[in-house]
Amino acid sequence: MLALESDAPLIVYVDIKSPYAFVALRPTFELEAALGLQFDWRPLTLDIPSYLGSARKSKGKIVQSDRTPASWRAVKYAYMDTRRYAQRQGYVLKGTEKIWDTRMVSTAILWVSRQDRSRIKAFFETVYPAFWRRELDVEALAVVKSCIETAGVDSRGFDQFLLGEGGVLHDDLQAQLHPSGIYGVPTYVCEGEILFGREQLPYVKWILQGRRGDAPDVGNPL
Amino acid sequence: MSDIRLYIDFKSPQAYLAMQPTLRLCERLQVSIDWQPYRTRQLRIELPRDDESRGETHVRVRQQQRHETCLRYADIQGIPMTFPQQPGVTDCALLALLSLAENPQAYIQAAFNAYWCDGYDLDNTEVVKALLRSSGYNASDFDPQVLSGQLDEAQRSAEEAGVFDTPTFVVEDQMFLGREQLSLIESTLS
Repeated sequence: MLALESDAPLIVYVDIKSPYAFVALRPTFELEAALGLQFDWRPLTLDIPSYLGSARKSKGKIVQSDRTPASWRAVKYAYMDTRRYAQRQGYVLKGTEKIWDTRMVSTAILWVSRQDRSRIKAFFETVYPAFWRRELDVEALAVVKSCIETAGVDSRGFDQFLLGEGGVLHDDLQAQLHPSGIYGVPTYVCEGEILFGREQLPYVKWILQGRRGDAPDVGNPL
Repeated sequence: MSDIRLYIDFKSPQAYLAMQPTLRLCERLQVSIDWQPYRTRQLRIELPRDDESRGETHVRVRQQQRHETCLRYADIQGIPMTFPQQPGVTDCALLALLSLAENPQAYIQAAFNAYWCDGYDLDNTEVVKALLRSSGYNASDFDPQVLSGQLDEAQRSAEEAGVFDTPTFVVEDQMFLGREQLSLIESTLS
């Protein structure tokens, strides 16, 4: 799997632990449906402590942190901002109490895509809202397999996939991302252009519709 | 009292790109802006290093992509934009903004253009005075030495309010970062 290449017209990179990816899902699925296309959804497993510092909360209190005051203001804003968009979409978005290891659930994206790409939406609908309500332990194999099944995909063989081919596929893909110019989620790859953030969806739509008329400026879908 | 408080820095590419869309929104909704200075930290694009950490690689790739994204949208907006080799210091120009009690819009546009189109040094008092004069303001009273300290105070006040980047809009006690929020701002104001 090459980071910038796909048989689909658009690659979408997401990570479940990103609130920005969460609020990007619905407008991106709406675009996919409106254009009658099937996008290639892929995992980008963020290494948040490497660029934003790490932190852990317990019962709402910070019990460990190496973040700067500016980083904290940025993080607080990110949750406040994404929460109001999530609410507009009818979702609950609670700040996470730790930085989750999402490698397993990211590999599950590859599994579901391989089994039946049309079930990706069902898989995300099973995983994302529950995770952001703090009701899903995405580091537990049984939980992830249950989500795969709920999405209508056979989870038999996922254990082996995770330990073998799938884990390797995931790690190889992650290693390609920075050298390809991809660093965050959601990232859209369309006709060779790398577009970070759901605010670029108007531009993505403009490309997918054949670049007719004036290109639009950025704008978060409401 | 203004409808929108807007924090800007002239060296912020996102603040520059937000200027025209924001003015069009204000014109359409007939709302006013209280312009506030906020000193941002701009990073230059580093060259890749063999020994860079994963975090440093992330920051470098992010900076390169942001740079390219800004240039794409400057082109879409039809405005000139040239990134300086090294991000400039804009403290003097931000102090001048603090000194303008009313209608600073012409000066703000001139200062943005001076930085992003002409590559001027916005920490040079004579440059800033010339910008004030050319945009119709009295520059003779502007003395950055006298105003020194006010920018730090404004910075502290903004940070206490949660500001960390520009353009930051504050509307009805809600904070919005970036021009991509203009639709939600419009919805909030309507």
